[in-house]
Amino acid sequence: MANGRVRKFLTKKLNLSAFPVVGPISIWILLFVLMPLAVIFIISFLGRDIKGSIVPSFSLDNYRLLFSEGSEYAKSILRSILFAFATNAACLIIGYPMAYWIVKYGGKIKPFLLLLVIVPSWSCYVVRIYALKQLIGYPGIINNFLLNIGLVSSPIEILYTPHAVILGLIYIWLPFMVLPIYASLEGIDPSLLEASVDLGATPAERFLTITLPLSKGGIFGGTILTFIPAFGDWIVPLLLGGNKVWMAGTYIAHYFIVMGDLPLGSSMTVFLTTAIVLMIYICIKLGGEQAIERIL
Amino acid sequence: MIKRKKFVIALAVFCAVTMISASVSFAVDKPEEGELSGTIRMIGWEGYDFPRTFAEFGESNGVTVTMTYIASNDEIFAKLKAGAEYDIATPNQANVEQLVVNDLLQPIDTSRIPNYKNLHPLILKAFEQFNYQGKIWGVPCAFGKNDFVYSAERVDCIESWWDVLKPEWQGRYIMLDDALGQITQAARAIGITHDPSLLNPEEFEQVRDLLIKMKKGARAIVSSFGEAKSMLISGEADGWFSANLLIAGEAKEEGYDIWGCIPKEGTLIFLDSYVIPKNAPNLDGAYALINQMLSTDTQIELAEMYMGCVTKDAPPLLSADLYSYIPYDNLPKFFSDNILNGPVPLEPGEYATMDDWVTLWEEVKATK
Repeated sequence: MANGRVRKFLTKKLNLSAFPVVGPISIWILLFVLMPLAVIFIISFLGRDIKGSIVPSFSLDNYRLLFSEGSEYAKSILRSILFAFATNAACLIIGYPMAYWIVKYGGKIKPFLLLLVIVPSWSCYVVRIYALKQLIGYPGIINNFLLNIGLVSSPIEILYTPHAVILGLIYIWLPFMVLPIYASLEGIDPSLLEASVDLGATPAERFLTITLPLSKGGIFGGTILTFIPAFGDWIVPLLLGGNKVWMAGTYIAHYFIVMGDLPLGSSMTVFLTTAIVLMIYICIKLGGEQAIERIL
Repeated sequence: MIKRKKFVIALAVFCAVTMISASVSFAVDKPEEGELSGTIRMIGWEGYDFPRTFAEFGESNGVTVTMTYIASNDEIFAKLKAGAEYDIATPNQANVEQLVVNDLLQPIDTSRIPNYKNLHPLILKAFEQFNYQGKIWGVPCAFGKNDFVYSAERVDCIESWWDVLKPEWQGRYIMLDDALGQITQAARAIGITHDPSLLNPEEFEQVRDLLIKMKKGARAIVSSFGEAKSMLISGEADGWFSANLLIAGEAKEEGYDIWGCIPKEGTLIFLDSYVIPKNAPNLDGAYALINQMLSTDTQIELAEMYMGCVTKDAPPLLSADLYSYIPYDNLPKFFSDNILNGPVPLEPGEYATMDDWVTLWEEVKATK
């Protein structure tokens, strides 16, 4: 069956008329996405000798090591999933009302309000994290304020904790949840809502039966844009977690940069990439074509 | 119109050719021998990129000197092993053997470093143990000691390394993300008086326990000296478990009082060196810059960052404050009272290996 499909694909005439349009991007994806991934995939099955050099012999040891009993990497995967879900949920809880409010009450200043959402993401990622550090640090603005109004007697510990990492991920990725949801909500035909009012639907019914289902694409589009980067992030945990909160990305960076263990780092990358692709697939399945449209 | 089969074959051939091409190192035009040009790339700790020296050297020779900072000694090995090209690296003395064994360094031709003769004989003698295979692999560039670094404005120094485990220090000190430095210092803290690079399984276990306890009480494990300075100045932390006083000079210029002390269990000393990677693209530049680093002016600049001058002509020219920080008058005692740790074993045997060390540090960092 599968062979038949492959044979059919290979024997079909190739229409080169579309090449000027899709050719350059296809070559780009091939050279800079698929080929590096292929190299990483191959390296993930190789080993290392005692000097740390890569040995060209096939082995599944790297994958066995990843999921051996008590593996810190396996724990970090679970931690990453948890953090990414928390980030995603928080971005949705904050971002949906924000986008809804802009669409419904933004009026003439909608573009300005959207700009306010987008502007922070124009500045450097690391600069934004450092700005957040000034806010949540031990001697930071929030602690100073709480101490000054007498709400706390000693500074509260936010920075360099798992909470700080989740806060940082929400802060960085929130705009990427707001924008797709905004696009979805903006695209809803107002006559549908008007008709539901005429038919006696309550505001809650209107939201649950019309607005929410029609903004599904934006929600899943936003999920792709927030969950995935949060899942693989290692800069935020490094800077806001004080190098004490390790996510899956932290391990990959550590094995590539510090330990120079390319095979083990590659096997981690393959696993993480597979998990991300699976997540995208689930989002597209649940969100439909709209999920893709909203992130493009 | 062509068939997809032909297109797929052509694509596969294209990919294969591109991959093969990418794996081949293309010959790059190199400057003539003795002629300085282009860029000199260094990799090493913050503090070895002397602003005055680099600027003047670059201007007078028409070259650019760039620096890649490391957060741990292991990074030099990892980057060179991965094929990265640098002209100079500044590893800790304990890491030189690993670089030599892996064929990542080239022997130093001391005749190309006129200022080599300025090196203090005692420093050269101390470094002799790292001249593997009868060759010179590194040129000593700085030495010093690891202190407990603290904000002198807010706290007093600790008496014992173990004091950081006391309640008042919980969440108030930081550690550096460097396996070698942290493990050797923890070894000193548990009372090891021999070379802390040679830890038997029992000692290694004790070090692990101490480091895990320390990590749990640490505010953060920092990746750079700059981050550490910023945290000590801002009040985010009050102390730093084991580092040299590099940041004290900069903090002083900014009006902050950061200082260091050696707790009663003693400390370690370091003797960093300049090494030249085997694949250094700008060999002439590397030798010229190393020569410049051994000049009197650069050595004085180095002393201003609270590191020890390795040449014999610079110390007499230092201010009284800087001169008193290192016992230049009694260097033999300095080297005998403190411990200059040797290489960590690479092969399994009686002692924990480098792999064990890196794995231990990873475990310490990941432990909750």
